[in-house]
Amino acid sequence: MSAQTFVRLTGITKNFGGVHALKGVDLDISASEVVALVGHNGAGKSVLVQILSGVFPPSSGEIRVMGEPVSFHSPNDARHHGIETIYQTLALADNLDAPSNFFLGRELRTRFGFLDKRRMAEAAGKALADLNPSFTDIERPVRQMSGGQRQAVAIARAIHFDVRVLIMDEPTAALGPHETAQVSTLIRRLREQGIGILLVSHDVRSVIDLADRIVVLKAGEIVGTMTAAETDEDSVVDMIIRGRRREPADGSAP
Amino acid sequence: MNSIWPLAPGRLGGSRISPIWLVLVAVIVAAALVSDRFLTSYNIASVLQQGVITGIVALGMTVVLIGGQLDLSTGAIVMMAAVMALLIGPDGTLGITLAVVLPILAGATVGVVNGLAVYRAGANSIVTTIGMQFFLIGAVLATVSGRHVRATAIGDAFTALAQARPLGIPFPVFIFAALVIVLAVVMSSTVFGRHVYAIGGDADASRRSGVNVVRTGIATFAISGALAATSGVIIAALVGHLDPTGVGGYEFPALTAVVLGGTRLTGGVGRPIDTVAAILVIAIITNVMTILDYQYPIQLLVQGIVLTGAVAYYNWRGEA
Amino acid sequence: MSPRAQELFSRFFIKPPLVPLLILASFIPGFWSMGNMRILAEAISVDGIVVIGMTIVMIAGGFDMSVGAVMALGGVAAVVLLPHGLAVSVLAAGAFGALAGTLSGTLVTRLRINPFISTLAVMVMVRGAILAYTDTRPVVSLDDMFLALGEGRPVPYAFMIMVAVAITAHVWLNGRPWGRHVYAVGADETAAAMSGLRVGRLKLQCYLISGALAGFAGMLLAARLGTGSPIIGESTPLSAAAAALIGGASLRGGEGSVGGAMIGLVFVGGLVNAMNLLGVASYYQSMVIGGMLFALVVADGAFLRLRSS
Ligand SMILES: Nc1ncnc2c1ncn2[C@@H]1O[C@H](COP(=O)(O)OP(=O)(O)OP(=O)(O)O)[C@@H](O)[C@H]1O
Ligand SMILES: [Mg+2]
Repeated sequence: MSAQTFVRLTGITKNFGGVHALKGVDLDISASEVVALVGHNGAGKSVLVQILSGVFPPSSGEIRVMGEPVSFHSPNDARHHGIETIYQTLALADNLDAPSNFFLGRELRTRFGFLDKRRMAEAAGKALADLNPSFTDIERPVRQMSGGQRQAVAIARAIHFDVRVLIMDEPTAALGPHETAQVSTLIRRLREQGIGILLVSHDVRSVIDLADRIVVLKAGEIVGTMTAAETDEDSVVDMIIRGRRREPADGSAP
Repeated sequence: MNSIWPLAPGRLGGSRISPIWLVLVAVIVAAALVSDRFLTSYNIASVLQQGVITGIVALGMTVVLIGGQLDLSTGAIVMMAAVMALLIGPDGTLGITLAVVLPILAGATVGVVNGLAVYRAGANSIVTTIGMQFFLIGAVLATVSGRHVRATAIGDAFTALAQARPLGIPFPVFIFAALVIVLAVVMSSTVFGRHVYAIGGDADASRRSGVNVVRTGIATFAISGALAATSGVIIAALVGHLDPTGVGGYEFPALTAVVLGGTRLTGGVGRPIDTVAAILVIAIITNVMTILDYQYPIQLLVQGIVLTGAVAYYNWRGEA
Repeated sequence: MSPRAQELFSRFFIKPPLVPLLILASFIPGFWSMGNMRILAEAISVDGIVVIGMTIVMIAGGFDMSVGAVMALGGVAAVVLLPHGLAVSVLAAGAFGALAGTLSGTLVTRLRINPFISTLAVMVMVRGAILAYTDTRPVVSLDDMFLALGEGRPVPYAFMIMVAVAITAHVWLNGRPWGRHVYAVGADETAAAMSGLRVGRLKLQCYLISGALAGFAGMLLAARLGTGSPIIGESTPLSAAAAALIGGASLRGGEGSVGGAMIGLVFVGGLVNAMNLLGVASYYQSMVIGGMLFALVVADGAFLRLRSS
């Protein structure tokens, strides 16, 4: 593969008390690549996402970004390395407006160190308009916004700041068909721009359509990696359920 | 467009002027009608004086509550700071400086301990700070063996901190006004203030967005502790001696004011400036009740009713 | 050791270190004397009745900050109503307490006000009301029957009453559907509501019980002291919460037991009693109890974090 490897995870494990949520996961994400991460509820997808985005550290294992080993102590560390995340829960502070959420954790300041509200409002407004031209009145608490608008705020914020790897945990779980299509278009567009995308989803059909590679996680382990172009829905579902490829028609499963 | 004017109503506190200002106007009118002694300059000065002591405490509690937590140790911090200031012996430049700075530092330190417990260990803030309250009261009383505290020496410059009346207005009112302006700017126009609103709205989302929730939260408690201590120092300067068992109970009227001012009990919404209006409302009600000879017990009862009513109102409006 | 034995060991030796405390206390002359045991029994029986109510409210996911003020209310009500007969007086103490508890419960369930704030407001209102009613002075009773209620030899009546209340509460919490429901409501209110439990009513009942028990306890205290004081019980919510937390209750609800709370009660009561015997000034006791509550809540919170991260 000629594309540059942005992120390489090796032997990542994570234990919560007695629960082994991840048991040694290896995963690469390269430029202009959409990697889909699929698996059952509780397979460990969100845990892997949170490790890669700096929410908590792995119990063991190594994370390399552009070949350099890194350790993330906070989400900001991951963001500094160009890893941005759109969480399953969006991670927006409901009481704040769109610009405040957009710049939360990396606010723009005036020369005197105060919040530069005007510049933030303009930048956020422009970014949101790029994404969704019909998005107006961004200066109200995001609590009052529709699911699609909130999603747009989370996405706009993630792609606005020099992003190398974009992680999307169930980005369309709460969206209607129209918004879902918009997100698919966006993923393709970002991929063309050279961004690496880690897409967590339960929707196997759309994953086959969108992804380059499909990685199947089961009980904290990667049980299979497939090239999207060379597989079909049934094989992926089989892998998710049984943790292995479907036996040939005559094969007798043990 | 954004207001660059920190005292103007911002979106974080709701786009309108808080109804508490209308209540304030109504209460002033009512007070003037009920008692002709209310609008005398002497009485107004005394309302302000009373309001300021509780008000400074309430400002700090507002910041903590916008961050989503409660600080009920403030009453004990007031007492601790007052006793400390007197024990230090506020005389001479050094003595006075120490008597102002050390109690405030001590208050901030107590706040940091509260903040660590709440934000680091995840302890329930109400019960934590009540535990702290009793700990501090016990510690202070043990230090002075429960006795009346008199300053060994007390300089005029120290008492002037509280007793001077430039333009006929008690000096603490100026201190209070300065603190209000500073806090209003901090909360509306700095990164720290923005982060306090964020953690009060959704701590988990803030953490994932890169906000240092623990540090921001601890700072809110430190501010609350320092401000409560400031009130204590002012009390010490005002009276010069103290019966420590008689100081206390500031946390409840302060909490009532914070909630009455529209700071949401679950955090994320509220403005220091609205707390000021609420403080004045409570000070006026208390003052009129005193004029009309309704004593402390009834005032307590009324405060309880005001607190309940305020929370019920904001709940009903879907904001508490 | 079997898990059951381990659990028992931990209950008496580690969380809390009750047995070590009692062993240490043996070095204090007079700790195990009949006279002191009686004092200890008297002290913990009044608090114990309050702790049981607090525990029930905490299991349901709430908190009752008003117990101290309601105790004072019960004591004052009992003494004031004594001229109408002992039965009226005793019932009134419980009834006034139940009324205060109903008010708390209504604020929590109907107006959806946070339990700490609700009961704090009720605390202030009750305190203000009785201070106003008594003009801040204690009311004194010389009624022989009433004073006899505060006696009981060799075992104080109050202690026997507390044991009876504890057993009843234990049976209700463990042997009755009602108890299961209270635990369910405390553990996950939404799930409980979705499984058809009447969450509001259950919580209201818990506050009512807590209030009634606090009022009743206040009456017993007044009987022992011969006065109903409007200012007693300031630190009662604190020590009651400490005992309940030590006994395994949690501020997050759904956990705790009467048995555990009783162990917590004896631990806190024993500690205070030992400090009294050693002549430790009451300020230090306030420090110890306050510091202990602080530490307990931190541990309670840290436990939550341990499990979730
Ligand atoms: N903070 C945590 N503390 C303890 N256990 C956790 C924590 N987060 C996740 N787990 C456990 O780790 C395992 C994997 O959970 P994870 O959320 O990663 O699943 P998932 O694959 O994202 O599932 P879903 O499709 O439902 O989102 C589960 O058993 C879960 O209970
Ligand atoms: Mg998930």
